[in-house]
Amino acid sequence: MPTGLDANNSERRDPGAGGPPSGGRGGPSLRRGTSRWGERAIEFLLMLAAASSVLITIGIVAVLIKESMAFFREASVREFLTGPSWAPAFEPPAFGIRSLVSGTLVTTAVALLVAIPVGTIVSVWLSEYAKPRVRETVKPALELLSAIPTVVFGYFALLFVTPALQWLFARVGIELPGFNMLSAGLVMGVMIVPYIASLSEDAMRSVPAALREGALAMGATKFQTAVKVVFPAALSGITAAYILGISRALGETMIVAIAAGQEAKFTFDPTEQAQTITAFIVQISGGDLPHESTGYRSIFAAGLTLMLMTLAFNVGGFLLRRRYKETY
Amino acid sequence: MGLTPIQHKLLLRRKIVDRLFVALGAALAVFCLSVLAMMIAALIRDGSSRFGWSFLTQFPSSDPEIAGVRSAFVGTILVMIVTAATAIPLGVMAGIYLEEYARKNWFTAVIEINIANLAGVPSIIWGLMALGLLVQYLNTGRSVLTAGLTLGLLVLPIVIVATREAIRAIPQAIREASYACGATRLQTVRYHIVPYAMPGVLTGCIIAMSRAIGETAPLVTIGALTYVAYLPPPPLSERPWLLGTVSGLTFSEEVRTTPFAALPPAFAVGATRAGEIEFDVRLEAAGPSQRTVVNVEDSATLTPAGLAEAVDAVQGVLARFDDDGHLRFESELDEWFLISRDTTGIVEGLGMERGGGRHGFLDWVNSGFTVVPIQMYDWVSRPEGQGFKANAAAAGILLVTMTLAMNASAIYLRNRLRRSIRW
Repeated sequence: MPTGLDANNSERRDPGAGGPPSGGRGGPSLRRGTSRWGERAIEFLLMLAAASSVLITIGIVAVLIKESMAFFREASVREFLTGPSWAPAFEPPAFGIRSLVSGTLVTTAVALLVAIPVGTIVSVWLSEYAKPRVRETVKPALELLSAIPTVVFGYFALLFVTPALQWLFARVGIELPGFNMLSAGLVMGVMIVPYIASLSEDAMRSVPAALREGALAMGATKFQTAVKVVFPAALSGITAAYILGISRALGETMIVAIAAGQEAKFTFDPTEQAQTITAFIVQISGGDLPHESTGYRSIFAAGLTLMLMTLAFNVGGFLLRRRYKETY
Repeated sequence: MGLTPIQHKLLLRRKIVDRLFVALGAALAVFCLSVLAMMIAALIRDGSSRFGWSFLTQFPSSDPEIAGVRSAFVGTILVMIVTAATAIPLGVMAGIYLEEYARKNWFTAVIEINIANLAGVPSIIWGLMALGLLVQYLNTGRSVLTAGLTLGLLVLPIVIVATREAIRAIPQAIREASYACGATRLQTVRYHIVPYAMPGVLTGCIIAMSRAIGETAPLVTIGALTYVAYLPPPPLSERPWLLGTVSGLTFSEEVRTTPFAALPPAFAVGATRAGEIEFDVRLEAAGPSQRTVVNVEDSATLTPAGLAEAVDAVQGVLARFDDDGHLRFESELDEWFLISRDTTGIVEGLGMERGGGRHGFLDWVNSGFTVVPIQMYDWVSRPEGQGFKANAAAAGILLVTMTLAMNASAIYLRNRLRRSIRW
């Protein structure tokens, strides 16, 4: 400990020691113009760096819209929205996005059915029950889970969870295909748990202790306090955590590309194989369609659809949050 | 205090619910951690036999026994260098601006909302952006540079947020003391804010890099190769590349404009040595690279037909053209020809030139590449029974080791920081 303090002190002294020389250099800086000009230039540079994030957003939107428009010059918007099947590489191609949207929604739903209950319960446990030591160990460990690359989760889904599910389903006489949305969705759910647990826990911990103490003083058990007082008070932050979970599930790519299948299919049965929007983009851009073809351009229209779906959920979440927002 | 039996019963029930909930919460947390453990165990079970020194030093191959991640591993490191060079300066500068300089106005508000939203954009969308903007518009190609820029922009919000949090933790008194000594704003930032925020910024950067290292989808989208059997040229290394223009051959337009497609196996690049055709092909190829020696009794009998036969014998050796219609390949052999079933056969010379000289400092950023997660994806998505699953698992071991090590060091750094700084 003392050594740590020492290091800290010397570190603090260092810039201080740099102080007088900088004061010395302050002499010339009194001459107006030169030094001020440098300050301005640096500030401008820093502002450009901050503004670059806006440029990136404009870039994303511009690319998606421009390329999608090029796509819709060759394919009809009506077919895109209402067409029954999605087969851009076939002759003639079919562009009915709903076959991809269904796959995306089913895998997302399966993932959320795992992630929201598990994530919420774990977060309540972490924030209201677990001792500080346990919390300080379990929370980073859970965050490690979310640091694992998704391609590894995909491997796990395809070669570990799917065979296990096939064995289970065989016992009740159902044959599960090697690619299915159930396995991909379940694994995706586990991947999302840390995001939801961590953010919800932050939200619940920032609920003032007085609220908890009030409930406990009235004779409520910890469980009653957690469910009836803390949870509603933190609902705004918890909703934000759910929305992030939904965004991650909608946009997750490698797990579904590996484990859910590569054939677009309009179905809401999670035991079937189907393609998601993201898996389709991966398949086409890693495949061998010529760049100038309509089929290749369709990845941008699919991407735009995904972006709009994510946006819709986020706006919805924003409105919900505003409704539940409580200030103390 | 007397309680009626009913009250007792209710109280007991509530206490049981309480206990059950504790058990449930702990069980679910343990379940999630055990999934992590199972995942690692599955990787080790499937991949430990393949994982080892030779796995790290071998190029990929059509033979799973000898296929390794050399090019992918080097590719990952190079892409990470570009990613760090993009995300860290840009992110730290943006963070400093937003915390230390920005006035509260609509412009700042737009930037802040924008950064919060960028963090929620699906990673595959970043890939589409890079494909449309960098690859197709700015013509950066399917290169290390494109990949690094894409991932750098992708993790930029993480770096910005970490920088801002680190700066926000510095007490106002530090700034005031600095100003009181006559320091300008820039001097305050340079000598006080940046040094004190450094550990926090570093933690954020490590987290950002570990996120980037496992990112697969955006790199597939920009067209990262799945099969690379060469390393990008080191700075100032000798240039063994030969550039061959294909103008001497008539390729169908379809072939020329199909950059993502592997050309049919009827294309091969070979070199002659007395009495044999040696296909010494290390190309930007999509198929398995092989050094296949086709013995020909007498070099005089090298007729186009004979060569076509020879080409058929070298199934899987694929050549690709870069965007300028150049074939790029590397060989220690001198005489080159390109043969194709479609064309007349041998076209000697091909207008090829020896590049000669040395590579520039940054030539490697323009090189084609693959990275470990893409190599793993390629192996995991091959049909069962080819024996590549073990390779995928071994690549997974490598990936998980790298990301966990980075995250563990970030957590360690964060904890140390929390203990050592007392304002």
